[in-house]
Amino acid sequence: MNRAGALASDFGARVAPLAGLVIVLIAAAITSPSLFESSNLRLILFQIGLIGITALGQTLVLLVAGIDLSVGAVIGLTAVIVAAHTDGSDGALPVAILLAAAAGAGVGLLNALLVIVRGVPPFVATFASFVLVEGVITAVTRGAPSGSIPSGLHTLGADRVAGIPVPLLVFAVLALVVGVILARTSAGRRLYATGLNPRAAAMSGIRTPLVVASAYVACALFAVLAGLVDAGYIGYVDAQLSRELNLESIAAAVIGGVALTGGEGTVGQTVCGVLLLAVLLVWMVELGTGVGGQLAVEGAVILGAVWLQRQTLSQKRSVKG
Amino acid sequence: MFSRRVWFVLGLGLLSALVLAACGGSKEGTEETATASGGGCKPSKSVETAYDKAWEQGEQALELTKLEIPKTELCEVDTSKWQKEEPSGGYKIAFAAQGPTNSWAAENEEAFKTKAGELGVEELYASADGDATKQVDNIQQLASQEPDAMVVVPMGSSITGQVKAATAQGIPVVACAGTIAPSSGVVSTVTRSYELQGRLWAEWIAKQIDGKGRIAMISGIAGVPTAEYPKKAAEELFAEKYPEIEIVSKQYDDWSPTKAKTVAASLVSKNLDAIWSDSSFTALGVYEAYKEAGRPVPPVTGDASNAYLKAIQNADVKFALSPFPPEMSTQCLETAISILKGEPVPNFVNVEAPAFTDKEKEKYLRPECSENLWIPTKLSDEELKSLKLCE
Amino acid sequence: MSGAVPVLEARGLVKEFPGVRALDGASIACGAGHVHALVGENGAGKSTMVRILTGNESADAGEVLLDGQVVRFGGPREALAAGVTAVYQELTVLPAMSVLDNVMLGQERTRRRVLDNRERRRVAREALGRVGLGDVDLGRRAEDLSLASRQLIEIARALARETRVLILDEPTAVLAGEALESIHRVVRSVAAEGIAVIYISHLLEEVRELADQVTVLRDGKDVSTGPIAAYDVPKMVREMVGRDVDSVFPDPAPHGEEVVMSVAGLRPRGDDGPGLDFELHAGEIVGLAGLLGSGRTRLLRTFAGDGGRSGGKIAVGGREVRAGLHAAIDAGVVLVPEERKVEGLALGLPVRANVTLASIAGIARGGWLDRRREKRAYEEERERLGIRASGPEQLTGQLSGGNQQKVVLAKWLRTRPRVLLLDEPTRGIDVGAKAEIYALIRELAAQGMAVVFASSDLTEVVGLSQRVLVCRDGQVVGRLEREDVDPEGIMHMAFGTGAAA
Repeated sequence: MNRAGALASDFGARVAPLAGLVIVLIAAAITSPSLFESSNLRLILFQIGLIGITALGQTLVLLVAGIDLSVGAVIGLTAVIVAAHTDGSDGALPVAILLAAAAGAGVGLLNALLVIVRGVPPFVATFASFVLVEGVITAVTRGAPSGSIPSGLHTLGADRVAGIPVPLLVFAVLALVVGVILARTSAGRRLYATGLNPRAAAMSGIRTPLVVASAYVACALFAVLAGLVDAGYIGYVDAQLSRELNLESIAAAVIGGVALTGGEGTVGQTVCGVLLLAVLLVWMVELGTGVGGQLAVEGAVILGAVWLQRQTLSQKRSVKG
Repeated sequence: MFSRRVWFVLGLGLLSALVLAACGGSKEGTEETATASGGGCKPSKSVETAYDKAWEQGEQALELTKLEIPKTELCEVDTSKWQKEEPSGGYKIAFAAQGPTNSWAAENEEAFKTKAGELGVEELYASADGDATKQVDNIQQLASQEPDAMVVVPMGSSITGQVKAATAQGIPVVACAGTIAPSSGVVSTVTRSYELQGRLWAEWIAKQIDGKGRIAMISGIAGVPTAEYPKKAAEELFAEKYPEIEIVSKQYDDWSPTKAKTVAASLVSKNLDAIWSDSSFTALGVYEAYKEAGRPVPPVTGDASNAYLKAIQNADVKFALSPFPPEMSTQCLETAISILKGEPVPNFVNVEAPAFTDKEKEKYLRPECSENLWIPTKLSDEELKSLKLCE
Repeated sequence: MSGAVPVLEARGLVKEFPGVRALDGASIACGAGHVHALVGENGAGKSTMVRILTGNESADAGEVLLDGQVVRFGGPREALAAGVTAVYQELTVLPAMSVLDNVMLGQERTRRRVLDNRERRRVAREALGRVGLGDVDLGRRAEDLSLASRQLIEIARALARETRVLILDEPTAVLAGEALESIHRVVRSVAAEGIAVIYISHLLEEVRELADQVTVLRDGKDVSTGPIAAYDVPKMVREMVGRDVDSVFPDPAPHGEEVVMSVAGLRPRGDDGPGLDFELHAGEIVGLAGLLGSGRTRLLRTFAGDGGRSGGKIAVGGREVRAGLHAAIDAGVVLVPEERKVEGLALGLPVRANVTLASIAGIARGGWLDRRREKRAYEEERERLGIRASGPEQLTGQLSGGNQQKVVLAKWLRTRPRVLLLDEPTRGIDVGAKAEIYALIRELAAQGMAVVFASSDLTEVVGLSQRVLVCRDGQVVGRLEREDVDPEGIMHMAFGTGAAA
């Protein structure tokens, strides 16, 4: 493989998700035109917002060669805390949000601690956190979380501004912010360097433990935000939420082309992956494939994306010699 | 080369999507009527009357004229071979429960516990955390503690073998809030009939739309009996009696409020005349989604939760709810004790619970209670308070 | 060889790796009963040639002949079956297995699919006898044996296979004294049996003593070949380097008087020796010599604050520096590590980002990266160090080894260090780039930077240093000023065999 070829394949990996999005959109338009009616479109836009917020956090963790499987648990935890503390009263909301953020940051720190200090593989560490948090929620609430969601959150989860769901706007702003941080700040540079080669980054004077910990905490905070959005959307405490959002957040980033091996990927790619995944998910519902079908298709697409990535990577390696 | 790969990936996704779309609708559970084996089982008029009672209540409450009761084998089980003197410390009865993963299960288990206390029964409890595989271990573990009888809230068909082992060991087993295959030797099944639920909702839907129109069906978790059996009963009914009802879409929502709303939102554009669903999570999601889209909410069915009634209390929504009451666990316990006393028991106890429609919503709404409450509840005010369900 | 067909011959081997032409038409011919030395600098193509001869790599062009017949080895097993065996410096003896199992590894004798133990023992015993280990207990675990004996077991393993061509890749690099002699004896006796031996070594004196023929590789070509009698050590070096050593290493300018770094009683973590006292002056270049594992690298890393201290003090510019990477970097003590791909660079980042990796705070204004400033930094370093890249955006992983090394240097030069530490600064770098790195180090020193480098390349140590510290067993055992430095003296100190210490 010569250099030009490698560059072309690199290009391929970057453009593939975009091409995929276009193809899925066309295929969806042919098989189920109703997908583009306003109510479905709104659903897609909401899904983009919710999945997108978690995927941004996941991207940060993936960039430092980690993975966060505790996202779903933090979302559930957020709903439970908000419901329990406010019991539906808007006045108590700010404090509840702070509490949820503190709890989320705690989970993020726990993940970081396990990964950095104890050297636990991120997959294991964050899954343990997931189980721990789910267990605590179940034990404390006995399956019946008390309280209810204040209507003030409805604005965040279910309102629209100029026809655009608020979660999507929130996601758009955050994507822009995270994108700029990654591409244009020294913090972003340190993140990429740490993800690509933690040893070299540390030897170059970068405080890599701090960088990794920040990524996990940021990811958990994004999950808290997603939890608020979701609670506002359904207006109901859903403590059991979402192993699916774990998967979807990772899937979106990976489909977009963010490498599981760390240090490679941009917010642009994640956004692209989120768009693709959200359309795909709603399309699956539209086709009536059921839960199993959605998971299977999601799995197939992730497999395809990872397969594409490995290909690109091995070509890059061979260039390095 | 690049485009070849992209095509590959997308082709893969597309292919799986289409295959699953084609297969998704045909998922079915195999219906098994619960009949007792072991010991004699003789036909009994009183058992049949009791079974029919639940149907009749539903028929009246939902103002249906022609609810046909499907043929089921009903009989009275001779339990003399299980008879056992009550030990001084009371009977020891194992409860292989779901585990408090949601409020339904929490109430289910609290009711059992309270009833056991009242009856002086020693309860051996095991939680499956909603997982059939874990329940297999639970049943084995409980059986090894040699209880006098066992009540199982079945999590899936994979527990059949272990239940069989327990009955072979001389422990009478009662299936509670679900069915276990007859081959397991289960003595009696105490649950609200899945067929009753499915048909009741289906007939009411048919009545609302005068036997023709476009509907969607939303069920809980694919492959789980509590979702699949009512769904199948309803599908059969629609197919036999209402050829002009078109089922536009069949979905699952995992009984998750989030997914329910998402799924419902995707249906808004389909111009549905009604939505058949098996839970109030779904009914709630349907209400929220249509309200947000600014469309009239179609008639909808489900089981009965306070959350739903609270949400729609001021809205003009047509619905029919048929409860799947968590406290049926007390009836399961009573049946188990009857078996131990050697009294004849029905092979199938159709749990009675009042079905109702939007006309009676004020009667059933409990504004002072939590959204997690399943209604109507038979739990006492103190129990409800200790569960933090009511003020 | 005089007319007889060589047992093993390679003709015009070409092997290209991305960015590097490792072999560029190299040939060698080795006759039965001869010891044929293969010498050349690191990166000259010796290992690539061995890998091709043993079927581990296939050549892009050229051919390998066995007994005059062209052969194509599809893999190492085919080469072994044809009787071509290599023994490497990195031992493949499995420490937890018995001597017997180690000798017979990979060539199990079976009778009706069952290990035939008697036969195995007989073959092993015979092979061991041929390497002078006739009386070793076959059941002994290999880890209980000395390094030299383990090396001999490797050779015995080769002999047990009925080897016709034995390739020894630096078998003596980690051995000394009597152990060295025993290997030499075995090599001679193996050759006397009629086996063709290809012997690779950096120790040119050893080569002169042992070999019949010599082939010198440089830049992937066989630049010179002939009977050993025609080659004295200076000639071999000239052929290897392609010019006189003096031209590569002109005399350095005298260093300044100012003490930049002073070390008192320094003991790296785990060291319970007397501790090192040492002063480094502005503009001074100090070489650390010693064998692999002698503690050179550990000493450098302790200077750099990586890996703790058991005791002692380091002061830079009169101010004490705490242990720890950040303290050292802040004080201006920086390390260019040996494994630059692992520890020096993020290969997936563009060149500009690696150039500014250690000085990113200086490129950023209040956290915001200034693209223009970064590009300017890149241009400055490209010019100063002669980095050859297609542009600031090129991925660092796509650069050649020499250019990658320059990027690591650039990364640290951006921080304006006072003490530059280099570990094996030219390992894996081709000859041309090496000379550039040397010139650069000299220039930096001339500008007042103090330099300490560790190297196993004696030519480099001798040529570049103003002062040499020799390490052995974790301690500095000798100090030589430039006028006293000679390779032989260093080796003796390193091995602990000479008088000087």
